[in-house]
Amino acid sequence: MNLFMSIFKMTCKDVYPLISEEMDHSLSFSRRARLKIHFAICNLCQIYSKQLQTLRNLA
Amino acid sequence: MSEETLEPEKWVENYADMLYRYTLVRVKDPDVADELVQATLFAALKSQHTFAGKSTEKTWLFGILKHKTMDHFRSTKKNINLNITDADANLIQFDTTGHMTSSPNNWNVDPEKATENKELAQVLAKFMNGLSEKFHRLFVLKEIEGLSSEEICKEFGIKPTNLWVMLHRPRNQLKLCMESNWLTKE
Repeated sequence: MNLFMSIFKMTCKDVYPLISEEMDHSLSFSRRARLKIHFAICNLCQIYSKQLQTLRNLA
Repeated sequence: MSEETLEPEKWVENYADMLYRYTLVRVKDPDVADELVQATLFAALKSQHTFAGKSTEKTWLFGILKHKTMDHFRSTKKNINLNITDADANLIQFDTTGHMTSSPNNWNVDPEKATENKELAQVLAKFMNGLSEKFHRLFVLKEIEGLSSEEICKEFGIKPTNLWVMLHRPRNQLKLCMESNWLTKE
């Protein structure tokens, strides 16, 4: 229940460092889950993630 | 099959600009880029006999340059002070509930196709110059040279968790630069 609640309380501010971190190593299961669930409800963070990926591919 | 041969007298004309651009993206300082390219051509001249003809002349020269560049990174790493404390400066604005205050601009660039976008790559290279020395170095090692996190951590004697936090900073800064200065004009 705690994990469940904490996932839904995630804000963009909590999530956006994870978006970068995910590019450098595999996140733990719970952090990955948080990210995925946040993406499902937040278009802005999805765009942010795409942008960082674009930067990587441009470099 | 004909073996590749070297034509040193044409190196400057054929490759100097290419080598220079390659270097400038990585080292930021034009003088250093100059030195590295010169050192590369000089080293190539001296070691012509080691060229086995198995790769092209161009690949061979870039190989030497790549070594020179990594040597430069190693010899200057002591000047780079990786301090975690100023990595976490928030460049993105959040409201009190933790949501972004402005929507990121949707770049309309398919991340997968970005590798082919030369024009955009040049814009990025320009903005990379605006990164501070240490974030520039981290971004180059990670995203351009493609070193693993482990290699970078070993090189600088830092912990992976610190590296991950610090890598976010140049990415974030570059994202904002791209957004405010170029892509929004579309």
